[in-house]
Amino acid sequence: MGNSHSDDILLLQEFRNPATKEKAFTAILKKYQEKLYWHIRRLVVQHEDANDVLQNVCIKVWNGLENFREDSQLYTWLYRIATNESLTYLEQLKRKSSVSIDNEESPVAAKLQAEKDFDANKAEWKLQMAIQQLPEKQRLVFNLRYYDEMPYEEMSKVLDTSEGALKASYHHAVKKIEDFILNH
Amino acid sequence: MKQALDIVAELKEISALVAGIEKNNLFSVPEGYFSEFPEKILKHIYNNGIYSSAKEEIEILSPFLASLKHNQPFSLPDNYFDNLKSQISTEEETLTPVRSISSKSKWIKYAVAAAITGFIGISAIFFINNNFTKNHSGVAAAQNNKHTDDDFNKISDDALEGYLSGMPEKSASIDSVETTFYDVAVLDLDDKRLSNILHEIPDEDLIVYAQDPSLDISL
Repeated sequence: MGNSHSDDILLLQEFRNPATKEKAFTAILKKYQEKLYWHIRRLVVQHEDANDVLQNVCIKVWNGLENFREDSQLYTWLYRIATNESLTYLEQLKRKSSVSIDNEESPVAAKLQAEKDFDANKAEWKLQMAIQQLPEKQRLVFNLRYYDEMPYEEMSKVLDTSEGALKASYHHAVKKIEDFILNH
Repeated sequence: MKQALDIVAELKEISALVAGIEKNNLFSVPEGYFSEFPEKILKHIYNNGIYSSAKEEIEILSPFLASLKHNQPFSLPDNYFDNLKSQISTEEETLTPVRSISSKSKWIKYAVAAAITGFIGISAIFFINNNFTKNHSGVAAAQNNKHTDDDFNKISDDALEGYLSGMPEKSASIDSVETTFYDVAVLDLDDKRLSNILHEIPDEDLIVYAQDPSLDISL
């Protein structure tokens, strides 16, 4: 991420100039949209939901980027917004489902089973099911480490948690996933 | 690259089973989604009037008004802001110092005020009660007198005359009755002793006493 950081500083300068603002914003989106999308998608599962959350993230970025202080990297700031927006969405989903139906299964796990190619016998789908059983924080830590290969140092800035606590969360998450796969 | 290798090694150490699962992307995305997304989001931002700042908003809504913003029609005295600070500090010096009232003296004032109010209140209650009792007793007496007058008016003059003629004279009767009762009470005589006393009195005196018309011998 080293050279990427200097590119981001340049993009931020361009964003603050009204003449190049749109061009810089488009460049930032092109650079980070896929990473952010998949981070959101793994949490909310369905494409339509991920698209809604990603749009909200982009609007927040558009509104806040001018005042973004370069104390942290743009990349970690974007992940923070994406994580918060995803958690807000999941919270709303949980509230809706607890009002409408007495379903013991988490609403996201139900959405996972509704995916087009879902196969409960395949290890990859079992892994997805296992991830959905994890507590929220462990799910975030596992996804960021396993899929995004994020260093603990950066993850601690995204999730505002110490590196030691993140390592412990990741360890517990992997063990729980292993147990789930062995028993299902 | 090294980072990715470290992560794989870390995962293998915790769980070889999870590390062995292939990282295939199971989810699908509509075709062309990512290529179209930046343009769609910018369109959405402008269509919904989402502006990153007030300056940008006015520049998009009305470039004419945005250009006028910096033309200030009001004028200021020369060096107004430079002299403002010294002007404020001069005013601060000339201000009369505020005398603060200590909380202790405040409490004493409240206590005195409460005591005076209490005294006035209790006095008023006593005054009202006394007036009420007096008025009430006066009214009752007047009512009684009225009843007595009414009763007297109902009695005929003849009946009153008859009653008054049968009554002994006040001074003689009351005094004699009181003296008789007093004497008998003080003497506390039995029959035997009384007959002894009467033997000592000469018969003539007793006849004269019995013939006295002012005495009721039948008693």
